[in-house]
Amino acid sequence: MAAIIKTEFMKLKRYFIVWIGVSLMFLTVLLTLFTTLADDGMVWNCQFLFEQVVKNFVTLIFPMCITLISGYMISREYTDDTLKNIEIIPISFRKLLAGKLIASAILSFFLGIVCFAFTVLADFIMGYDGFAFIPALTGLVQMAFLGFFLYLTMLPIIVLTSRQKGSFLAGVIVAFVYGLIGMFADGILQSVYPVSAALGLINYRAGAAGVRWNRGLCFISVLAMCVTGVALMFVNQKQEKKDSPKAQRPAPKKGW
Amino acid sequence: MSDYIIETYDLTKKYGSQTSVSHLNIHVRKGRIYGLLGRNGAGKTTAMRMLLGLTAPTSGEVKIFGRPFLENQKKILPRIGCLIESPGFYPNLTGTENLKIFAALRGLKNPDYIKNALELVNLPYRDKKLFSQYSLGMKQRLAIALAVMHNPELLILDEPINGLDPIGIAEMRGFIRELCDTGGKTILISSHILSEISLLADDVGIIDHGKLLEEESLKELEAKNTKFIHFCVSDARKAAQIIAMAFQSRNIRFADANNLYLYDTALPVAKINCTLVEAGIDVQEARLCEDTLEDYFRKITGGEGIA
Repeated sequence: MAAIIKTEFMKLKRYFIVWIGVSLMFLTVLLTLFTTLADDGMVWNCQFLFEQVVKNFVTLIFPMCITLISGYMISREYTDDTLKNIEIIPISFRKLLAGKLIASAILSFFLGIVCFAFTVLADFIMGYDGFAFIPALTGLVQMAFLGFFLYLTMLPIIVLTSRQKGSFLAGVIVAFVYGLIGMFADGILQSVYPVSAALGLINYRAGAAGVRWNRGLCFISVLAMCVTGVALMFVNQKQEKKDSPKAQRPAPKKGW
Repeated sequence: MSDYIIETYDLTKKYGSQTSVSHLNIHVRKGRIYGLLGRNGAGKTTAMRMLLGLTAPTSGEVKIFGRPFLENQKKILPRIGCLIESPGFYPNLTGTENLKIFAALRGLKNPDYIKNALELVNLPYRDKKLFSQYSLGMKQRLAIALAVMHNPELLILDEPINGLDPIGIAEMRGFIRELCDTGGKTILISSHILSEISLLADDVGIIDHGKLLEEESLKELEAKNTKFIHFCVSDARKAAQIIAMAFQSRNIRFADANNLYLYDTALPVAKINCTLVEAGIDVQEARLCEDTLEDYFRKITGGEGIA
């Protein structure tokens, strides 16, 4: 398994999709900075900027971003026609998928860290008060783990759309809507709905008035999505790739 | 123990009502090159995919290295190198980087495996060129390098000369021959180009519409080819009578009033020629002819030729 994970990172070399991921993290912060332009009397400081970035990260950008990157990593095996070379090693599709999902989990940590770095940069550029080392370190850990927990909540979508070439784009749309709904979860639903439950697991705005997390429920909710994703990997897959007649595959160039 | 490295028993693949491979029984002997010859769409690739477990057979059985393939897939596959259909690699990586990935997945830690494989196919090691910038011939070479990188005992190569230029084809032929002769590898190769199979294979299987029509050694196939002496004369009927009387042969066929075919090739052509001229028959041409493998292929496939 370690070899599969290692090769997944080797495959990412020169993949533009990683840069799209980084750009989307930048967009998350940029989008938050636009809201500072609103004349609503709100006083912005470092802590508030971080909270607002997290909100946009969870509900708007990250679910779509990680589903896009993971889906793309899987889809490329179909489009580059490399699955046959892997299957005859032999490495099963399920094992390969597991390796890809673990690599994506590591990527989710990385993207969380990237988003945090952009947030700190934005804080310095905007000159907000309140930056301190310990809260910043806490923020870094929170952001990295938030990326990971959110990724776990997206697992079923990623696994389901991994079975057919190109279907990951449908998954990206579903992930966007799924994340957006998290914005409207309130009360106990906040702890039950997987996307917002990920926020509970990092103790988001725990000190703010009106924010109460049932961390047990949050944990169960995220775990349930993770288990569902893993279980879906073991559901007998349709053998589209294996059993499609030659006529349906792209015809290789023959002869001269 | 059986001498066969690959044996199939009534291997069949159906897609709905369409039968791609029907009751295929092939026998690949150890240390030989087996050429699977057939037109495009004859079922060669499907058969090879079934041999590698990439396509599940509808019925039938495959034995590789004397063991049932399905039950021993994990032990058998690492002993096989293959090239199936078009070369499949990551376009954003160089040839060396691509091989590094597959070497890592195979657990090959020594970089010499990659270096040697690339050297064998005349591709540079650690070149900066990305796979997406490769020509079709280079892609094909890289696929061969991948197939031989882990030093497998058996090679399954589906149309390996596709996309190669004439010099590349000759090089590839020599390289495959060497792998068999000096490397001791058993090779199953498919092609729709008859001349390639006749230049390379020791044993030939002819497949058409999913069915194996013939399976023999190349020597046996060549021995089956019809030989005859073709005479182009002023009066074929009269010439036939003279040959029949003077040389006691009735194995003659008329093509038309001026052409006849004599199937007793052991008879002396020069003497027949003299006899005919002395009898007042003009002989414009007398030559020994032989049906080519293509003629034979055409005959057994029911009239359709091959490239």
